[in-house]
Amino acid sequence: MGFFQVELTKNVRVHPRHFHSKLKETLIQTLMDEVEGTVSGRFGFVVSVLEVLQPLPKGILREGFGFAIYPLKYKALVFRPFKGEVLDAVVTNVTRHGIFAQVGPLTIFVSRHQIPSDMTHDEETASYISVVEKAERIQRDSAIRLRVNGIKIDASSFTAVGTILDDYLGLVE
Amino acid sequence: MVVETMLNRSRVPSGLRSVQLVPELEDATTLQLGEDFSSEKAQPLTISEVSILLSRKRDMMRELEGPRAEEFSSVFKKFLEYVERFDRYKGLEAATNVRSLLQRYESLDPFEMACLANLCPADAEEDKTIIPSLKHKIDDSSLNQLLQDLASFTH
Repeated sequence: MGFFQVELTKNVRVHPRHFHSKLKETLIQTLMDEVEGTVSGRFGFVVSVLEVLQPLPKGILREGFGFAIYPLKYKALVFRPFKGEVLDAVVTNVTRHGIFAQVGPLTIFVSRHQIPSDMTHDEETASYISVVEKAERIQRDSAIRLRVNGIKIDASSFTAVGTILDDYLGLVE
Repeated sequence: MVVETMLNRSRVPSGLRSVQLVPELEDATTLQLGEDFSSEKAQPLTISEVSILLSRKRDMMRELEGPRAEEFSSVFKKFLEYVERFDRYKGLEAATNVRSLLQRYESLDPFEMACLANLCPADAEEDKTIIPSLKHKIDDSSLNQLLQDLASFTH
């Protein structure tokens, strides 16, 4: 869940100064530099290029410019969140409005209303403590299991909201 | 709710703004992941498998000398940290065993297999609650057996 291997294509543009024996290495490195670490609404976070499919395609020279464009096909490891899925996340911030948790670079907000009512916010320790079981405390660096309720995609990233209300959700580890 | 992607609002006339209904049509609880993530096009990976891939990449990068050696994107670093924390099976052998075990259960969707391995629920009831799409696909006793076998590979 979350992590997938997908096949993607990218037009990599190469300057003529690279038209020599190391062209292949340059192509692959340029691809990695351009896509790794990027986010898109469609495919999520591109975490790593796994493999560039061989044989590499022929470059197409741009008329009037010296550049060549290589339509590279590659396998990538991506992380794409989906509404409805259950994920473990690390708490980074606790406020009276709710909990902020991260799955890698993805921030998921669990609002106060999505936290069981038998947990109370303790301002002093910046945590949510169970009234039933005092040892059960959600604070910075706790791991919580949440369900993603909604995902919003904007220009370059995702934000997500989640819940720990349902059975089997909440503190883990 | 219609979501706008990528184009700057103030510069592009409203008729040309690209909109994507993508998130609205998706629902992991019914395995609606959209066309890009259908089982033909995308292979879901377990956290253990991702951990292996990322640490290999990191080791490869470290072998390169010069400025490239520590040039990981923050996305990479954060996911590496995440999978190291939540990897339950640790190591190539355990990860491979987990994958082989899961593949035997042909009634399960690959997405469900990855969720199962990553979340490691204690029993069938918990499992069917957190992964609702499983409800009618597998009987409780087979599921309990699978979960027990998975647990035997955990560290």
